[in-house]
Amino acid sequence: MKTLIHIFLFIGIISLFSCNTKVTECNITTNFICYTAKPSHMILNLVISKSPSNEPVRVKLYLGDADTGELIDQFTTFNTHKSYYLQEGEKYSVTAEYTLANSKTLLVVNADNLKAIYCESDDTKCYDWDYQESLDLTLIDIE
Amino acid sequence: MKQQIQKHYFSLFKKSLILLGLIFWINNYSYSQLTNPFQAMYVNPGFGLEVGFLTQNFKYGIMDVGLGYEDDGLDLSAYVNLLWSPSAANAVYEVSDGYYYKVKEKGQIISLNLEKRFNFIRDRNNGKYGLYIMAKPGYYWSIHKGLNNFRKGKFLFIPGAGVSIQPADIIRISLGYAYYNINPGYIPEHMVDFKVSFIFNRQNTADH
Repeated sequence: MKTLIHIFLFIGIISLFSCNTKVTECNITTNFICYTAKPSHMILNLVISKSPSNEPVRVKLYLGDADTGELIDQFTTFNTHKSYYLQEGEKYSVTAEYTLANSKTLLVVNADNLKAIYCESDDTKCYDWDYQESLDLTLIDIE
Repeated sequence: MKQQIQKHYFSLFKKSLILLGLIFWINNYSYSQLTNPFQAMYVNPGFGLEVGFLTQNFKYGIMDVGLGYEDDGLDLSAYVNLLWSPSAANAVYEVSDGYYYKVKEKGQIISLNLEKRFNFIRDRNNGKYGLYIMAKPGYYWSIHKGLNNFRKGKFLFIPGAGVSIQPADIIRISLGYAYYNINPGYIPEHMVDFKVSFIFNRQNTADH
C-alpha cells in the first residue's frame, strides 16, 4: 500500500512538471469566420541582416535539409526581408551566406516545418489563413 | 464584497497552510540530532529515479532524467542520466579556415552521475540533511535545424556540489551548483542544479 502511494505521488509530481498540449480556444468576435479547410500554402518570411562588408547576401532555399534536400531557389540580396509562398506541411531549410569585414565567411542555417495553426470552437478546427512563419537568418558576432 | 470575503478566506487558508507546515517542521526538528557523516557505514542497496532541471537565468535550461543505483547506507548513488534542452539555441562552428556556420542547435548529454552525500542532521523520521558532491562524466552530442549530416559530439566531465534534503526514505531533494564546461558558448558554464530523486526497494533504515 505504501509503495502504491509512493508511485501515485511520483506520477503526480511528474504530471505537474510535464507539458500540456493545450488546444487554443477561438477568440470569437463579431467578425470571426471559422475556416474549417486547412490552407494548402503558407507564407514564410526570411529575416536577413545587412552584410557588414557591403556585399550582397547569398540566400538559398531548400526543400528538406540544406545538406541533403532539394535546392528550390537562390538569389543574392541587399534587402533584409524576403517572403515565399510555400506548400504547407513540408520542411524548408534556408541558408544565408555573409561575407564579413575581416574576410571571414558566415553561413547562417535555419529550418522550419510549415504547419498551419488552428483554434477550436465547439470541437471544430478553425484554421488561421493569415498566419505567417518567420525564419531568423540574422548575423551573430563571431570572435 | 463577495470577492473580498473570498480573498480574505483564501488568505486565511494560505496562512493556515504555512502555519501547519511550520508546526510539522518544528515538530520534526525538535527531535533532530547531529550525526557524523563519516560514521561506520553499511550497504543498503535500492533503485532510484531522478528528475532534474539545470539553469543559470531561466533563459536556457536543461532537463535531466536518470535511473540507477541508490545506497542509503553508504549515502551514495550512481545513475545513468539523459540530459537535453527543450529549446534550440544559436551556436557557431568554424568548419574550415575562416568559414563559419551559425546553426540552431539542440544538445543532448548521456552521463554517469556519481554522487556522494555527507549527512549532518537526522530527524525522528530518519530524514537526512547534508551536503553532496557530484561527478558526471558523459558524452555530449547535438543536432541542428536544417542540417542532416552536421553532427557534433564530445566527451565531458561535469563536477558539482550542493545541499541534499531527504525528508523521507522515498524522496530526496537536491539543490546545488554544476560546472558545465561544454563549449558551445550558449550553454552557461555555471548552472543551478535542482533534482528530485525517488528511491525504491530498499530496506527500512530503522532496521539498522
